[in-house]
Amino acid sequence: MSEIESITIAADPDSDYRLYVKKKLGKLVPVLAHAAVGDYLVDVPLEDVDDDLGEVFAGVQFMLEAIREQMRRIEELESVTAAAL
Amino acid sequence: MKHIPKKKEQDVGSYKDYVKQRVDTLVPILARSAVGDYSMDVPMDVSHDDFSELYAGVQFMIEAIRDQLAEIDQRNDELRAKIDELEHLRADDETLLNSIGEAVVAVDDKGKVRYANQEMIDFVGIEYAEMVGKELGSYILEDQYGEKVKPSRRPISIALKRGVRVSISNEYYYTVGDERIPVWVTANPIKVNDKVVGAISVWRNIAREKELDRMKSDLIFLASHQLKTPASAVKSSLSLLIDGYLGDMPTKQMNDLRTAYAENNFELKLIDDILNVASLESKRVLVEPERFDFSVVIRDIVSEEKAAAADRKQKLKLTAPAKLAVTGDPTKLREVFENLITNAIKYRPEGGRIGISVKSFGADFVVTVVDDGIGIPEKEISSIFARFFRASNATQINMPGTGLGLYLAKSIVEMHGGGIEVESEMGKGTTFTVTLPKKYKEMKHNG
Repeated sequence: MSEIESITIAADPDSDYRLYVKKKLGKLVPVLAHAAVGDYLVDVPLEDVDDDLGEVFAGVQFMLEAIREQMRRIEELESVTAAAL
Repeated sequence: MKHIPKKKEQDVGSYKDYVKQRVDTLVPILARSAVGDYSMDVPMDVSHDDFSELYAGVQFMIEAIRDQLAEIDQRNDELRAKIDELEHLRADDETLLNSIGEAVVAVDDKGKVRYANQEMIDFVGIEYAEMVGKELGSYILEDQYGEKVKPSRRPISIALKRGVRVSISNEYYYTVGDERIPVWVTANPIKVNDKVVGAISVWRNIAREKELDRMKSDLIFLASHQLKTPASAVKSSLSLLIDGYLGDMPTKQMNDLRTAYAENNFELKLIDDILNVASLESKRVLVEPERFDFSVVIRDIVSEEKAAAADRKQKLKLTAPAKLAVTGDPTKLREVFENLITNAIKYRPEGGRIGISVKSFGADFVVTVVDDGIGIPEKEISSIFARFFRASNATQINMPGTGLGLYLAKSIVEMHGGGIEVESEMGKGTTFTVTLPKKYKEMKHNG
């Protein structure tokens, strides 16, 4: 049974939803914490749930991948420049 | 970074509406990022809520990407500047290489042409685009006998394989149309971190130099010929005086005459050697091949030189097959081995033994002359076959010599399609090894 399914059985719908959002956003914390210190290698946990935060999670993952791609380009340029020297 | 005060959670109704409003603010920013537009900032909240960390994290990543893009731009600019600089250097090098009067070609580690200057393109008569990427070995150098130079002997192959500079002159030719051009070839390896990554070869057309050399030899030949006549007349007169045909001479005058006779003989020997060199170099004298028994020739030479060896208390030891039929010029070959054997006698202190051996090896035969004489200084070995060269230790012991004997020997051996090598150690002796084809191999001439 997943965490998200277990939240839906809470008594207060608004309170349950708040708990659900908090838990879901909590999954992004380690990703953002690593990114804050320059480590972009941790992926966003992309779950098979199409909810209100789905687009945000996908967008953050996309940005991580963009950053990794730029880092690769920088490394490539460094080696090309070194070879040209 | 923009700081926009957000509405309080209770101002937007339920928590679900609040979440929707917070997500809707972020989605357009992420959507633009997805298409490479990182210009929008995340509106940062003044108060803390469940989304604060997410907003700050996304803004941080946007700024990281902007920094990366700026760094990429800067590196691209640096690279472009470096490429421009390299282009300038390349243009400078190309101008320089095209300005020199020698053909230059650069190959990669596989021997394929990477660059050729205009002189090389003109030399081989092939378009630049056709040359590049092809093996330099496709452009065939020939040796003095008109045979293609084997891949292992090509200077560029040696430079690539052994990583050393190779310089070869007076040996290679390149044929363009009907013209056979003598070329001086050098090859230098290109090394990066001690690894051979390619080589550069330079070809110089030395036809003009060879022509000047021939003209010089002609002049020397004429001058020496003119000198020989009076020197021979002096020799005859001195002989008459020494032999008493013109009356008795007091002992002191006779001694002076004998000295004059010996000096005159040396002068005539020098003139003869110069005439021989000039004749060989101007191709005035060619090999006159005939079939003969080399064993007979070498036995004759050893027999003739035995007296000179005995005077110096030396023994000559010959090892040769009973018969050795070869085709070559017996007179010229006799001169080669007379030279090597008399040198061995001259430059060996009194006593000891000089060994001469003749062996047959398939299509070739090898003659070695070994002495345990004074040897040749190591740094002078490479010059020993040069014209007028005499080893420093030979001149120190006042042994007369013209410095032309070994040059003549080498020239004659090469005219027969053979080779001569020397090994020597100071104070221990010298070994000359002559390899000759049993059948004379005609040297091909220019043009």
